[in-house]
Amino acid sequence: MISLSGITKTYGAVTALCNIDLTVNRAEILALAGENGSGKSTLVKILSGVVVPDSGTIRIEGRPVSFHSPLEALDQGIALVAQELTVLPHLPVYENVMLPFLRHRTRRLVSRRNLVARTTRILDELGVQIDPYLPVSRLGPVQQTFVEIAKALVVEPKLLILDEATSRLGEKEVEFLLALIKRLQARGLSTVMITHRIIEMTSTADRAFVLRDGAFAGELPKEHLREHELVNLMVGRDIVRRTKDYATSAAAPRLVVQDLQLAGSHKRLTLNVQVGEIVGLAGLVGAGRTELLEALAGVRKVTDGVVTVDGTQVPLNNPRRSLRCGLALVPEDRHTQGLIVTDSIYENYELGAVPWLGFVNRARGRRRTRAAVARFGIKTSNVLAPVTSLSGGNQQKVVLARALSKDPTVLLLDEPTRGVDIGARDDIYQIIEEQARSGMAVLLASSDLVEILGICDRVLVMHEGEVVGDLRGDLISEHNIALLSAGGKLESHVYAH
Amino acid sequence: MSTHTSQSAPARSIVPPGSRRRLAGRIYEGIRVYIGIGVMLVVLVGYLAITQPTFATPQNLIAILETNSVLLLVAIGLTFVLLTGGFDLSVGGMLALSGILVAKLLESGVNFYVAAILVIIAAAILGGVFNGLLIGKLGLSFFVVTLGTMSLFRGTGQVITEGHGLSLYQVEASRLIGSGRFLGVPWLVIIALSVLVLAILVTRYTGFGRMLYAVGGNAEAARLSGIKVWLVRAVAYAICAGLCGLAGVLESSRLASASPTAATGMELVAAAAVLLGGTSFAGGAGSMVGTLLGALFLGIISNGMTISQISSFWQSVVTGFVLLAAVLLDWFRMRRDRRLSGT
Repeated sequence: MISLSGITKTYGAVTALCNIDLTVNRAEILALAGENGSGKSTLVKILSGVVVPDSGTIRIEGRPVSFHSPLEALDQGIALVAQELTVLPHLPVYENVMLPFLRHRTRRLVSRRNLVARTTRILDELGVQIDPYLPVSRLGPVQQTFVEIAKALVVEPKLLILDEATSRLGEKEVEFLLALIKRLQARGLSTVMITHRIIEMTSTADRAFVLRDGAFAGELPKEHLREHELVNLMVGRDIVRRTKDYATSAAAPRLVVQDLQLAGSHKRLTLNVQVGEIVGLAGLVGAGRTELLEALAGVRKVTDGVVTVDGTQVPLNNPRRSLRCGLALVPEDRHTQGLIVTDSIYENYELGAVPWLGFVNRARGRRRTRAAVARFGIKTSNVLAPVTSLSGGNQQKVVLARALSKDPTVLLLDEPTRGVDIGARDDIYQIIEEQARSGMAVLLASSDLVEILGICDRVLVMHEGEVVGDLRGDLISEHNIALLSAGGKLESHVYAH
Repeated sequence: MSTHTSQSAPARSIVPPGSRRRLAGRIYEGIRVYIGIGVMLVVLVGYLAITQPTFATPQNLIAILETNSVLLLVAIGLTFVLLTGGFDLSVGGMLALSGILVAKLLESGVNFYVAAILVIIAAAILGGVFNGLLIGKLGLSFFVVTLGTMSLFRGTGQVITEGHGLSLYQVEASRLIGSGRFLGVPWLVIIALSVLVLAILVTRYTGFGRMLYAVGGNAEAARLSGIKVWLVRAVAYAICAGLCGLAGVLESSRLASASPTAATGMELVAAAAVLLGGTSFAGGAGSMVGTLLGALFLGIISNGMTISQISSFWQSVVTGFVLLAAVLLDWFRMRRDRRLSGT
């Protein structure tokens, strides 16, 4: 029905997708699989017209087409249910469901009765009971997801794309949704589904299309669509683990987290990090890694639990006290969370260093900044230059240097090398290992398995807000991490608390 | 410079290497933000000095400073708030209310200086609690909150006086501050410039001052670095209100009367002064020196038009044009900087 050939998309120097050929047949359910950063999202964006590919052609029933906006894709019968909810919370359900028709309304007056009637009809067809007059903000995440799906189906598309549509649903609703897709399949609808639960793919999809590092990794027809094969295709590479030249002291837990419960979650997290240990936090996007690190840093609300650093209990929900207890966070996104982009390198390094009534000694501050610039190899000739004049890797080093300037004993790193060039990346790894060698406990969340496998002594795998695996030694492998991340179980895995 | 890495490193800094040029570059960095308003100010002063013989006299220059010292105080207060990325529409209302409160205290026989200090403290607390806590702690929109307090403060003044003005003429200390001079310089100017110096020191050399910039530049980064963002914001509104209290005391002393309609429209003129001085409406960038230049520019334009006998109706038209020109200039400068820094 729809076929892509030779699709390539690059962002700057990064190739997100390379020469992809993909065909979706009529009434087929296709699972799009791959790890974080494998190019799934980009492919979905191209299919739904959000992103225009650099090269390659898209054909619908043999006719070449090109989309420059989601609207054009919708006109060609391709509807997307995006990963993030896109509902308008203050408007009633029927306005949300009928939103795709909004642009036709200029031609004739809106009949509210008509809109409600059509909304009721589509909701009945889906088999969900939602009052069409209720504002969407009054609905729970499950019902909101179904409003989103109704909105996609109301235009009677030929192809439905579900990007992590099941992530907000419970087990029963997932079953219901998957049954619904199969019912619609019988009526000729094609579906492309992305899900982080492998079991949903193996139970529902007719075929799995696997991406790895932006390239085609392989296909599995229904009869071969099994967990083990799928994970192997998604991973498909060997990574050499770095060997450590020093031992961590297992006797001294530096950071101990017990039954930590985040606001809005009923799951409890328990873990510890030893003196000098680098512990990786692996998992899919949305598994709760960032949330855990932010909770430890005191910037995300925690409802219950105990956190101790070197035996001292850390007051929860208080970023300043956390920092004083030795927990320093390097946040995920340096532009929105790490840096004051309007300021200089000096201002950024010294951020929060002087108390309210303290005197700002600029000369001394600049000296300190220069010392940090030299120590961490930040490439600049002037600490008063805007921080945005630095390359991404050097900007990240400024954020890291600032965290280390607070003399932490536990370093919380969230995606420390995202968008960082290779040279600076190695520098950052060296800095992290140096800190660990001098006794710092490091908790490192990363979507980059090379990083996790490369520098971590131990790997905790998270899935849906829980730590589901604690891997050490030979058990640390890409296969095991991918399996646990997707909610699978290791055959001979003993989970040690 | 201890880390002279400019030869090996891909120096993308906007400051060129080489120590002499680097010094020039650093000076340029320091004054860069004032170039727009500075050039406009020099052109304006030059033009007026040549065409209007009465302009460049000491009396006239002192008169300009005297008439605009109240505006300068309000603009300084507003700069604190704008640096955090907020805005305060209630400055005019607070100014009027403070004038009335001081007049009422004087009526009941309180010493002028005691009354002035009480009013300033009360204003700071009112502004800190209403504007500061609602905006800083609860995260409400600064526009809505200060629109409300604008009406609240001015209305309270009207209720207290039942719409009439109150005279301060009998109070000698008030007359002295309002129109007296010290070594030929009006007390108003001395007070306003002292506050300016203090504000420069606070914003540049205290931890709080730098936190203002951090909160305005990126509140999330500031929060993650352990800065109490809400408190910084609340204190900025309190300082702004306190300075409006001082401005109210001075304004009613200058006019020898306190009126509930004093300083109507002051919030917009003061905002124009702050923005002309290069302080960003988005927060995180700007300076007190810029605010001084902005206030001076508006004062000189108004003075120049008066002595050139141009109708005062034209003044806000010109102010509007100048403000748009300044914003446009800022846009050009930012675009060039971005190109130079290669991002």
